[in-house]
Amino acid sequence: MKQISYWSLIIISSLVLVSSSFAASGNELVNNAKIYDGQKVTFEGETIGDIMVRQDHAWLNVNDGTLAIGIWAPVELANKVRHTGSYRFSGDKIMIKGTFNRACQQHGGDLDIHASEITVLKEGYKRAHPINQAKVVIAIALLIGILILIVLPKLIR
Amino acid sequence: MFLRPTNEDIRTIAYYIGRLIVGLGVTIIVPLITAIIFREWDRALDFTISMFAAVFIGLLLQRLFPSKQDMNWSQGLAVTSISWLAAMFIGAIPLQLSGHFASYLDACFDSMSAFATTGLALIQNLDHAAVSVNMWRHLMMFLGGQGIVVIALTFLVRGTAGAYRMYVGEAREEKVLPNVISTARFIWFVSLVYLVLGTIALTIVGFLEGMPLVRSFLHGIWIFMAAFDTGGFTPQSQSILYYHSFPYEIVVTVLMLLGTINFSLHYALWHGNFREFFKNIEIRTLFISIGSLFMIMLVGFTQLAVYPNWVAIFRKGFFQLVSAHSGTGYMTVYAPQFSNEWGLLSLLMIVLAMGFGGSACSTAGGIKAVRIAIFCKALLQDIKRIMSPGSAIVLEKIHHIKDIILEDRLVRSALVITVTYVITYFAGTLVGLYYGYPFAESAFESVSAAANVGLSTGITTASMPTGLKITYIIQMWIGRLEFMSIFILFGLVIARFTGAKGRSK
Repeated sequence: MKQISYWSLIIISSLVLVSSSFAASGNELVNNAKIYDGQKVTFEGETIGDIMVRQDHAWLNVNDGTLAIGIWAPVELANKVRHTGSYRFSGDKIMIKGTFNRACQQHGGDLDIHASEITVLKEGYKRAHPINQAKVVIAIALLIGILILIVLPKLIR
Repeated sequence: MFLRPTNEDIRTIAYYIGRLIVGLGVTIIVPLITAIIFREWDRALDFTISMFAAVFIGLLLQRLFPSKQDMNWSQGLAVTSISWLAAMFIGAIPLQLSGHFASYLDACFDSMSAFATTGLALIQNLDHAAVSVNMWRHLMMFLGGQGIVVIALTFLVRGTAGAYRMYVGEAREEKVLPNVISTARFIWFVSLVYLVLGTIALTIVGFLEGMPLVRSFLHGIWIFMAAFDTGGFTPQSQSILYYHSFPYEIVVTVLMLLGTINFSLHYALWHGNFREFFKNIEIRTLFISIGSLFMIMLVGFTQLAVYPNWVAIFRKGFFQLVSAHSGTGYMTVYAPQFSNEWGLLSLLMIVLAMGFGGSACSTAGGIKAVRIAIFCKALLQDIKRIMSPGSAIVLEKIHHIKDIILEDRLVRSALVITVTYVITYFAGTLVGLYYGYPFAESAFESVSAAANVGLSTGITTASMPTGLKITYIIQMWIGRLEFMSIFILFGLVIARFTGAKGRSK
């Protein structure tokens, strides 16, 4: 019985190790690309820009604050993302699990992640851009200055 | 003996700088209208302030320093060099107001990088930048690539000898057409035609690759401006890697190569003289240079097994080489990958490509293909002289639109500029080393700044030392103007205190 339990523990531990992936930031992945190449990784960040659908897959670009990495995902996974980052919106924060490629054979040597799992951690939201009243005053002051410079020489003459 | 600049000289210089600043202010109406169309009201206010500030400063200079006289050589060159600094300060105002920069110095860095068509950037949170901010960033690159003085000559300055002196000060010695105003207008005409065609091509490819139509169009305009003007800004932080698209990279490569071509050659091609393309010494030099450097790069890649197949080698290696040689600076790899994965041999090829540069009288930077060609021909001539009988006269010529005999003064002129470039590259490298960066990366970044390329190994970030930011700003400035107008400016400043009294012609 003890021997069976021991081997069970080893097998389960091995399965856990095999299925787990490395969590890394964009900077870590890029700076250690050779080490992570071909490995399963977990990467989190904000979806930015466009989701570019190419037949049954799509490109997403995800920025974790250090840099943005391209994610190649099946369309059904990409469709989980509803907001992408732009001037008006903060994009959905997502977690990607997939295979990291230092120089992807399929995609012309691009450094990318082929996603097998995407989870939306936090939905995106609209960004506020209030008008700064001090700037309005500055603009008016400059306009008055310009008018003075145009009109004054004519008055002096 | 140097003559001391008189108050009249200073008045003339200040007056024309004022006119250029007003002209620059008027161009800010483009991002202002963009902000209104896209309802970016806070950014619209920023651009309104910037436009008003430029017009106010420009008018103030003209009112304080009125002048009706035409410019002499030193005045024209001084106006050019100071105008580029003034453009940097004005162009930085809306950038700083946008909130994307840690300091006004950082905004000035990006402004100079844009006008000098370099492409090194300190902007933060670019992926959330407004449409109008991206419009201004890329428009600055387009204006700088054509030449701020070229703009002025087209719209603001009458056809006078002083106009030619300013034009030369902007590192454009060639007159495509007999009259410098006509030359400036031709440069604009060609650029606008390519703008339409290039934008259409990029819009179509972007749309087919999955981008929405409006964004494809906007990205199309911006990428065209930065590619044809060999500047290298992009609206997203990943540079061209953002698009993950081979067709997009092909169109961009064509645009970069078009931007590298001499405007005189564009004129010849425009008028059906296609033979000129194959006979032209700059095209031949660029062809040989790109081909040779790529071959050596292949050796480096193969040795280190950097890429898995030929498609990847072409998409990464060839694209980056053209990006470097044209002075564009677009990246389809991440900055650390140059140092970590490419190896010193391939990295050196990129540094050489950046240093050599594109054609003269184009939007490209670097030493220039015609100067490289002149050296090679001069070397050949010397070898032939040694091998020929003593009484033999050995003539060598180059073909650039017309046949030009290789004279010693031509070689000397090319040598002076080349040596000055190399000194500038070296000086920037020393500053990088002083701040503790490794030699290869310091040299790479210095050449990238001075040759107005914009590729980076990762040194250029918002957190880099202030002294290094200022160094790269100066390098971008003097690299774009090819030294002479800046040396004249410093000469005038020194002569103001030490020169003899008298009237300059």
